[in-house]
Amino acid sequence: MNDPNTISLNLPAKAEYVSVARLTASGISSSMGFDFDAIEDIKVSISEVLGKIIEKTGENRKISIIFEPRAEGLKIKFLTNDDTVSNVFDGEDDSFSLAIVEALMDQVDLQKNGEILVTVVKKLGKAV
Amino acid sequence: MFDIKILGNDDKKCTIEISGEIDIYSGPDFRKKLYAVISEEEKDLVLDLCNLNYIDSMGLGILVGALKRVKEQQHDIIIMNPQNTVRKLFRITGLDKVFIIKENET
Repeated sequence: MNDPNTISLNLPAKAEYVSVARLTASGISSSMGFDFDAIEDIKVSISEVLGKIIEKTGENRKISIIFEPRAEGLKIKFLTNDDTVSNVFDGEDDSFSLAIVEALMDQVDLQKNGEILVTVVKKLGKAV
Repeated sequence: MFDIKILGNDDKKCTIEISGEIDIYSGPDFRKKLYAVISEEEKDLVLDLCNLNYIDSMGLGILVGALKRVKEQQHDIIIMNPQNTVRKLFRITGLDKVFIIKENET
């Protein structure tokens, strides 16, 4: 959080705010120089991760998304204040969603039982 | 948000345009409206996706569920004119092998 270029977005864990995260990601990745296809990859991945977190968090919870622009690409971290959530992709139907994120992003790290649930990285110039 | 509009309807097929964005928020309403069309029409469904800007795994899952229902009626779903970003999702999930996908039906 000490990086002055870090951008944080805090949202209610509700489906109607996923589009806000997509728009924010679109603006950040566009300003970094990602091309249209790569921006779409990032938007889809954000929606998939948020969708799974929302499915697993309780009412009135918050999700924080931290965007870390780097020269080599964009790192995005997902956190929630619901400590009952561990692995966001451990459900029966979640492998489909995880497969999409893994196909579209260059790096996907799932953290279990930590403050950060998921970290994804998209490298510049790496649209699928 | 999204919109479903019937573009054409004859004895063999019903052509529907799906436009906008389908995600975790709009998905439940999309499922309800699409499945209602399937129940009413009982014929091949042509889904024109040329104005569908965005779909996620929930939307794809709804389309798979729709295909199952249509197949049970001995009919099929034809996906028309998906944008490149939507087509890419069909490809990376393998659904391009499950659905009939065509361009520019006349």
